[in-house]
Amino acid sequence: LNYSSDNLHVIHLDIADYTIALQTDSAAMAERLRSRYIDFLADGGDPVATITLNIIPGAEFLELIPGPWIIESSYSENGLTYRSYLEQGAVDWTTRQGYLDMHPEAHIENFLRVVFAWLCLQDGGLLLHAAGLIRDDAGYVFFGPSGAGKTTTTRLSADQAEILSDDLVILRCTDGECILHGVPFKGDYSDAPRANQRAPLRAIFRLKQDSAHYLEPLPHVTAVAELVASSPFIVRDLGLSQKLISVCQHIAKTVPVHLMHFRRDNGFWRVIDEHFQDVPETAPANSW
Amino acid sequence: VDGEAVLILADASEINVLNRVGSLIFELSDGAHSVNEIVDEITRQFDISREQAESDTLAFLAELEKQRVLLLEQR
Repeated sequence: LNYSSDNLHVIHLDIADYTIALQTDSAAMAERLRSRYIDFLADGGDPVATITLNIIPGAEFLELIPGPWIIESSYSENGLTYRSYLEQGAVDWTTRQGYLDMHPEAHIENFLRVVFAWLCLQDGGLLLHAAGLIRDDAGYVFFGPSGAGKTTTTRLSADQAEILSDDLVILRCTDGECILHGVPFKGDYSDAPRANQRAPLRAIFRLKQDSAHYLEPLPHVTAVAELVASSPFIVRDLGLSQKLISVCQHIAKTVPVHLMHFRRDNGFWRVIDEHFQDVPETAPANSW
Repeated sequence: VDGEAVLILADASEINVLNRVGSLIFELSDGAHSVNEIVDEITRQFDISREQAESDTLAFLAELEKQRVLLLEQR
């Protein structure tokens, strides 16, 4: 947490190796953010964007009505806009500046999710609606729509792996590999730690509840479509669809994607370990 | 995706990979072709009776309408 002049509080967050700066003149908001994102605070650096948080008492930007929580977002090459009930904002990527107008009770988290969904995509990565775990220094991703079993597999893995998240992870990819990154965003398993860790991604599993544990390779086209469908916010924007499909194709060609049939016990790790255990590239001489 | 068509509905929990027939019906559902014209094209391109093509096309279009992917209009 850095303090600059005029009582402006500047907080740097490091999420998936992106630094983002949040600035506010509210000491209470700064403290809330520092506490909430304690494992993701950075000392400074060169932020991809600086977001000014404007606390506006009584502010409401959408009428609160029963039904699904509404988050409106739009995207262009130069920026994005965001609106929900108690907060609205925008980021201009040409100036690397943004703002979020907020009701005092509003939280920044949904805005950050939208920002990171767009940011990762531009870099060939993905914010994925998925659980992320690290086991033996390798990253594993379990994904599917709500109810598929992300939180369940995460809970069942508590003594088997390091939990990054039961809800959202970031994948950043280069030519040869993808890296799994933890994010601070909370899912249903709210008492789970949100580890600021990373690991080379070894496999991706689309969850399917069943009466037995087994893996089934997903055809490439299905794997790509499933990844696209599990990319929050940006999947709804037609203008981003080509880029999104291209990124998901790259991921599905770089990392194996399987359908994981599972039941409610942690026996799926035995199946995963057997499938992905390291096999020597060449048999030793005179091995008989 | 690599020459195959996929239907992804943002609010649904499933994705649908369309086969060649489904892809063709979807492509021809452009507001310009009538259902009869789509059935004609399916019958022309695939080894299938017109009755079967009509039945399958109507069933597929009804499913797309149910999923709010398209609207069928009387003309």
